[in-house]
Amino acid sequence: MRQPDSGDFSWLQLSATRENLPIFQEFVINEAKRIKTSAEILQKVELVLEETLLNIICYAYPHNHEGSIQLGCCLPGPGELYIRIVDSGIAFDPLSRPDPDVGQPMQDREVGGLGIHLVRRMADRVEYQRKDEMNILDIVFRT
Amino acid sequence: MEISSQKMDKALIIIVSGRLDTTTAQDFESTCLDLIGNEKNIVVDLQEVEYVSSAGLRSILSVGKKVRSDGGSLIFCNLKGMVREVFEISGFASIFNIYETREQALEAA
Repeated sequence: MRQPDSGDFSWLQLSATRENLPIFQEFVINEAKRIKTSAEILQKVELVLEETLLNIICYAYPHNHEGSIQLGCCLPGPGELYIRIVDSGIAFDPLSRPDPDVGQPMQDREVGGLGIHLVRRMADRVEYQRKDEMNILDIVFRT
Repeated sequence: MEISSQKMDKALIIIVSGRLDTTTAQDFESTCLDLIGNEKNIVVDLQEVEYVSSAGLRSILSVGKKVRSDGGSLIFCNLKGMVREVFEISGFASIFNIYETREQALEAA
């Protein structure tokens, strides 16, 4: 598949706050509905956005420094939803973290670390790059 | 998200509906712990839960650890769609006992 360039995307840029999370989610869901994405995939899209955007909201801009998130969405071909999340916060590759050990018994399980694991498993493809001081996360769903 | 409970002979049933996400997870955790009190056998019915994220899982795990450390057991029933899938992917389907129906869960409690 051709890698879409930024002109192919519809963009939404908002400050990186919890209040904006549902607005970002709704923006992508509305785009996805244009290609008749199933309710099942829409829930996965919503989940992946919650996990990835919250990571940025909570950790990308420390010390109360207000930053923003650019969210791009495009439909490059039949049955494909392409999401690009861009922030200019501290460099962080979410895919560099090892998957949590999901086979551990309850008392040994850590409360956390599951978000990115869910993202990897729910999305069809996830890629990270650091470019021009920005974190760029591309997420692809086959609808 | 809404939570209600029902006291049966064998167990306390906690019935959850709506979404278990970053905005509701904390409320879920504190409400569950309030409802549980000193009860030992807890069945959580997730029939009406349509969405769970890692924030919801964290709260579920916290409640599970608390119940276990008090010598009780927390079991789940009626997982649907993406809730079931999230439980499976995260390994929660193997750390908690999960039953298809509330009746089966009560029998096991």
